[in-house]
Amino acid sequence: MTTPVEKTQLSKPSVGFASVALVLLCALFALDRPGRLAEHSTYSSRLRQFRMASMELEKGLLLERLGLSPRGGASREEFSALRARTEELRALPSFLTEEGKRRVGAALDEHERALATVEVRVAWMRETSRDQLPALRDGALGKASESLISTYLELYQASLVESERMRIAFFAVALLLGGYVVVALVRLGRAGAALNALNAELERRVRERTTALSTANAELRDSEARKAAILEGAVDGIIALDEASRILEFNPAAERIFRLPRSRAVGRDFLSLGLAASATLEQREGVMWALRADAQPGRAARLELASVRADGDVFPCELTLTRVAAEGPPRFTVYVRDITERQEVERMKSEFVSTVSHELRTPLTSIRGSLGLLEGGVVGELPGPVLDMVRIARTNTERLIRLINDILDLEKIEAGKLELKLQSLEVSEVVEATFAGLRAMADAARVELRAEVVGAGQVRADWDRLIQVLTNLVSNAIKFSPAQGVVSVRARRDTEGQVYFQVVDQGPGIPPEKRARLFGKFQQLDSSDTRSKGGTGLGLAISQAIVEQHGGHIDVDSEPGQGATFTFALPGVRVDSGSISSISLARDEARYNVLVATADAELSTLLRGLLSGEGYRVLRAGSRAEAEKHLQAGAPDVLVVEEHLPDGEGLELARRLHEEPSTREVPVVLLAEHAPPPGAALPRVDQVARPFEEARLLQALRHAIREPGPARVLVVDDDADLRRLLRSGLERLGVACFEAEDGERAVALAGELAPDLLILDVRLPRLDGFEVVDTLRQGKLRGLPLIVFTVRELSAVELRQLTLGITRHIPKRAGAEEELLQVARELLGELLDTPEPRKVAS
Amino acid sequence: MTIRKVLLVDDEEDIRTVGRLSLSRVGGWETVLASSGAEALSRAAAEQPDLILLDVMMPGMDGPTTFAQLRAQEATARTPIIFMTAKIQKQEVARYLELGAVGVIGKPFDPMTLPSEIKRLLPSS
Repeated sequence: MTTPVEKTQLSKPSVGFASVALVLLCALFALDRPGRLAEHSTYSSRLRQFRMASMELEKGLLLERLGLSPRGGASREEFSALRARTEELRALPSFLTEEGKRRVGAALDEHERALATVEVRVAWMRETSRDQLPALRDGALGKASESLISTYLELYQASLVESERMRIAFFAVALLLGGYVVVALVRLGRAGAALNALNAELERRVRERTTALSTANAELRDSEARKAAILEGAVDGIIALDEASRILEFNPAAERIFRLPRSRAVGRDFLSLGLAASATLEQREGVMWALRADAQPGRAARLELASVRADGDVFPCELTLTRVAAEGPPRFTVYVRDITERQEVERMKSEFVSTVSHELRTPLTSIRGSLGLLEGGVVGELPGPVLDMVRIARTNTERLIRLINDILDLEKIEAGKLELKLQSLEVSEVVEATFAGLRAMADAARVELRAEVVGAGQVRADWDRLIQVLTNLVSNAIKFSPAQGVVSVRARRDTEGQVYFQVVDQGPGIPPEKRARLFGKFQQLDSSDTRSKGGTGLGLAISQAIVEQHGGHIDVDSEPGQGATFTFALPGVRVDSGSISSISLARDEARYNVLVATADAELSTLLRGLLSGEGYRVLRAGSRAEAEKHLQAGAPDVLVVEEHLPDGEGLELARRLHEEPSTREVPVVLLAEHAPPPGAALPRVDQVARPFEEARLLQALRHAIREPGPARVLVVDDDADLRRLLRSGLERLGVACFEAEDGERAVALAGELAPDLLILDVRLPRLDGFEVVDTLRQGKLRGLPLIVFTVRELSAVELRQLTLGITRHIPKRAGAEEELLQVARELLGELLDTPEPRKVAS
Repeated sequence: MTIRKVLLVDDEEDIRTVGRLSLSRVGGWETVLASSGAEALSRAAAEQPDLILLDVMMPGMDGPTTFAQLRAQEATARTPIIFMTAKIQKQEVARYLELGAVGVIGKPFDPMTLPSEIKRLLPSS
């Protein structure tokens, strides 16, 4: 409540007015009324005595003239006494105005003159005769004194009137001032009342607040108690840290885990308390990174590392570190979980699965082997019906093996152990590879496979796993398709860059009530189906799990009798708008483009798989004419050509290629039937004899594409001394050595130099080794041979992440430089022998 | 390289039998057998095979240990070795290749194609 009280005290003018009014009232009473009265009565009685004396004098003179006076009338002394009285009367009362005093003075003068005249006349009469006496009878003195008195009284009356007027005026002003004071007092009174009301209101509110506060306090205590109960009861250790990682709170679970009472933990440095000496530098940095001052609140970091109890016992522990969102200096909460048991369970489970798998596979190997030998006639020809039985046994054994593989796969996915090797994949290549694996099955079922993938571009996915999903869906579709049916794989890109895959069949369709459990384990729709579908019942469950791990989801749409459509979406890879229109034929600048010309479909598919896996973009031609068409569309980085094509010789194609100015520099790898005779070398043509080793072919491709010149090695390490040491060793091998001291420089130099070998430390400033490898993988250097040279112990997962082309890991330790040079020599191979790399290989 | 004699090392008698039939009858190679890592060392030294097929999971001395011992003894220091394993996982294959094995063959294998698979793994010259 906020009623404003304007004045709760008198203003300064009010106080002034009131004081003036009081002073005026006092003055009014003090106005010299008693003084004036006293003065007036004194003066008027003097005047009366003066008149008496005057009249006595005149009476004496009259009696003397009549001769009646025994003493001879008024004496000289009587005249002087009267004159003295006249002088006395000149002391006029103070209340008379100047005008009044002048008039009274004039009347006195008049009297004095009359007195003098009378005295002169009396003196003269006494000396002469008495006839002159009647002249004295006119009473001049009496008249003068009478006139004096009347003049005085008149003036007195006038002064009285004047003084009354003053009093009335004073009274009126005082009344006004008093009225003002009264009004002010009334207002003051009202203000006081308002003030009282306000006070009461305030008190009421204070009471209310106090009550609310005590309720809140009680609630707070309850809440505190509840929170404390959570902290007390938590199974995980919960530790609060300040900005310097000192322990502020330490709950009972933390006390149990670290075997340390709270009192001894609080105030200690968490890093030295909780981290075991065996925790790696990387893990320590991970913890410190999570506890940095500018950590974002609410984003938890989770780490598994070795921790140590107060008694020195080291245990595996999971730390979840998060910054508390609050004002003030940074605060952190650390959740500590002892994962000894969990790790043990995980280990046991994984061991169990692995053991079971081994224990099942071992007898299956014998069964599968025996049946295979029987069926193959190795131990003697079998009669027809026996052969049929053996075949049934063999195919079902294989089914059992697939089932075990699927169960292991699913276990791995569900345990989150399936690691996706995500890369940019050409959708058309993925679909083609899927079809290549299923063509025999489709042919046997007399089902046509059709791909509608134009314009789908690239997706970001794991090559093997995406093919596994598509193989599952397409093989299911084939199984349920009628003869002469069509199974289509469609892929299209939506406006948001998602690529939608659809597998469409013309089978009997899937009833709505069965769709829900389609992706469950062991869900074959129709167990009474007389045709054996040969599936394990896990294919769709695995496919769903794989797609989900890619961030997608498989949906099914089906009308009974109208076939079924399985759909899933994967994130697409953005293509620069400039090249999108010519995506099918144009060069992919992020990769080396290889044109493979062979009429051997199996070899073509094999090469596509091998080369795509290494990051090359593969264009395929089945004949020399087709190859020439591709060459007209754009020069590839390298041509791989079979020695004999149906419509011409591979070498002839190479010769023609090198005659054209636009393709003069395109290197050629010839897949020869036999090792070439010595000395048959052609410029820019390398020959690889079939059957070839994969590694040999990949090396030949790498060497064909590279810029000519001595082998180039890029050494990336932040330790300048080590770089110098490696450089001197490498230069002794005849290698051109380049150095980079950080990751950014390494990426830039690698792009510029296209080195033949990269020697990479993991801990680097700016970009670390992982980031360098990730960046290089995006481009043409994904097949670059790599030596990871680091003090860090790398986990299996990290080792996999740190892979480009042929990759070796050499731990940095005393004398490791020798080993490194040895491996470098091996990886650079023939590049070291001659400065000219393109030569005939056997 | 030309193969004449193969040493097959596996602790399972049945697998040895199937393997021997496959290698000798389908592959046409002389086949010597060993049932443990220790036996493999002595047989390999005595028989000088052109190729050794080595099971990974064996009681006592396992495949990788046997591998190291074979490499350590003069007679078999350079003999090509192929691992056979029921736990065929990418990681493990990479590990065996890093050890210096020529290749890895998963179990169960098809006895009719085992020899050609082996030939595929061996260096062509």
